[in-house]
Amino acid sequence: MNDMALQVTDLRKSYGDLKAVDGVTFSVATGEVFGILGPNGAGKTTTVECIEGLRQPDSGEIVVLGRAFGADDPEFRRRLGIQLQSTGLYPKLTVREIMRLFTAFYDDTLETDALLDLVGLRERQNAPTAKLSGGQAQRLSLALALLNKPELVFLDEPTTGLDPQARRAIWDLVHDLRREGRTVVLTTHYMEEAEELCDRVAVMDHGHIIELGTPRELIAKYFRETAIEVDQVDGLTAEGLAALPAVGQVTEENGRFVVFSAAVPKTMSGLFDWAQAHSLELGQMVVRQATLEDVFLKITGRRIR
Amino acid sequence: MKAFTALYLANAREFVRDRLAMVITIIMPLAFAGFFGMIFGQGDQAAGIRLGLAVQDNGPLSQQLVAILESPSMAESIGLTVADEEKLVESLRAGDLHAVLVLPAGLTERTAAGEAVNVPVYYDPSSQSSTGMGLGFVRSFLNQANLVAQSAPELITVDERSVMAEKQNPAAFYAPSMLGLAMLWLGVFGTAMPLVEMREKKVLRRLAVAPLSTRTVLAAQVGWRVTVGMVQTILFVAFSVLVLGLILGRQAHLILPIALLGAVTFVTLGYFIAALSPTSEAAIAIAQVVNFAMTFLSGSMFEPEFLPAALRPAMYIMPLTYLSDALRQVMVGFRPLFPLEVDVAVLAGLLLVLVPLTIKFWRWE
Repeated sequence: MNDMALQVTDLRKSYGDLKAVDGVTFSVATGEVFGILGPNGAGKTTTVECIEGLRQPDSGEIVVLGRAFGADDPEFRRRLGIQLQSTGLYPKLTVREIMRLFTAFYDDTLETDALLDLVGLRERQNAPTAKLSGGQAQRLSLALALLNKPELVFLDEPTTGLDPQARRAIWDLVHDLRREGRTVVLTTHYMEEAEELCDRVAVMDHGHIIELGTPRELIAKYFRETAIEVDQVDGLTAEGLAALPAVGQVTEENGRFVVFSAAVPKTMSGLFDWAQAHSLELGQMVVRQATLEDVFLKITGRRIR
Repeated sequence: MKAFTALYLANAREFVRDRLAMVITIIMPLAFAGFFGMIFGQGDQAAGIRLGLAVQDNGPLSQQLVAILESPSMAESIGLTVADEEKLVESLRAGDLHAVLVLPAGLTERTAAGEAVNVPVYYDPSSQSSTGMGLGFVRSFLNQANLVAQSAPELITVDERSVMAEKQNPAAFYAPSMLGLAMLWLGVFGTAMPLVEMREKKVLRRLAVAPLSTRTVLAAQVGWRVTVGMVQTILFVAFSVLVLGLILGRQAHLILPIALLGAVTFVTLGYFIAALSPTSEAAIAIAQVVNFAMTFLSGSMFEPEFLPAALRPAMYIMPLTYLSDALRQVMVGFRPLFPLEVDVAVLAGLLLVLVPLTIKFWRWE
């Protein structure tokens, strides 16, 4: 009926005194990959599980694929694909048996073999699910969320705890989903994941959405500057760096100074001059774009992890 | 229907691949029935009373008495050992005999002269079967001997009539009772504990977001477990007839319906326990308490008469009492504790109470 796959208005959910979700409003357009980003405990999973019907919100309106969503509506659930953050499967059934089981819940599904190839589990198809590694279990869980060719897919921290290679594989799958025009809502606490995958990102903290926009917009809004990372060496101080031309802000992380500059050439030449004048041997330097991580640090004063 | 079938098969595979569940729900009850049935079944049969006989008198009366003891009709109920008095008393001490009867020298002569003769009978007061069966048998035998000695005609003879439909051995009590116990275990260990585990491992949660109605999920799980109960019943009946030598009663056609009612009721009880248990530790604790109480207070492990009077009222509130009673009645025609209709009504009533309670307290996570 409209081009909105999901509309959430003033969603609230408390556990005792804790306001896990405190007035969250956002909408997701059809075909969009929408990220909910935030540290653990920000309220991401509670938000998504309210939308999925796993939790009863205290108040607020949720419209999924154009209709108000009730928890017990099997017919409607056929149009959704859901990957839960924490889930279990029959431990003694094999990967293939689990896929066939879930295939039986739907009318129109992907072919099991094709799906096994898609998530790279064909070699493990006869393994009991209890014997899968974390990454394999996560990919199986993803396969179950995709096998009904869903219009709207929820992925709750799909890559948490996975090695870089496994994470890459899942990112590729999400890229495929976007190409096919499916709507994806994913939560993550990895900034680079949100930047890589999402069209738009809601940054959540303490049950609120504190920022919402495309990754580029958010970075541009908070950082017109570029980040220059400089190794800390004797004689180099944050104050000294802050006094260089075009420098907005200096932060420290992992033994490096991060210098945010509005004009990299000016800052750089200032830095070289200053080093020469003080006979300083500069260490490694990296010039990079500001990231969502920088944005989060700037808004909340905290790192995301 | 497709979803139901798939879930039913998934449950079946999980169960069949879970060796512990198989052992507890299928093999253990059969082993128990076999164990109790064999012990008590064999004990009372054939060479039931092992009697030692020392013959020191060789007059016609003694010969007559020995002939009676050695007759084929006696051989059915006693195992006779004839030897010296001393040797026999030794065997009695060792527990090989239940009683020793001595026919003393001069027995024939003195009784013929109308003299009362004391006949020594040895028994072992520390042994129940010696004081009970051994001494009892010898006493009644000597009564018969008195008649023989007086050459009195036997005016009153015993015509043994079993109140049970067929001549049964004591396994008749244990086999159906153990089947009842098997249904309890199916509900407590085969249902409640795996369900709580599935909930803790978040399997139920994953099913909750699939396009399934709660009804389909529950029906598939209950359906599979009731199937297990029915398979168990058939195995039990076959085992009872073929191995334990039981003869099925006249109401044997009611075995499956009663077992079905029992399976459904106890599996539902399992769901109720799972609904009440927040963690698997809690489920194990509740399951143990329910299992212990029902096993010992339901008159399934031993006959209800053996229950101390103080605990007798507890028997009436154990649902298993009614299932075991009903199964004993329909399977082997055992004496009823309650009319069959009462048993069925109690089980069905419990089921009707449990279903809404379970739905009320049920949680997917």
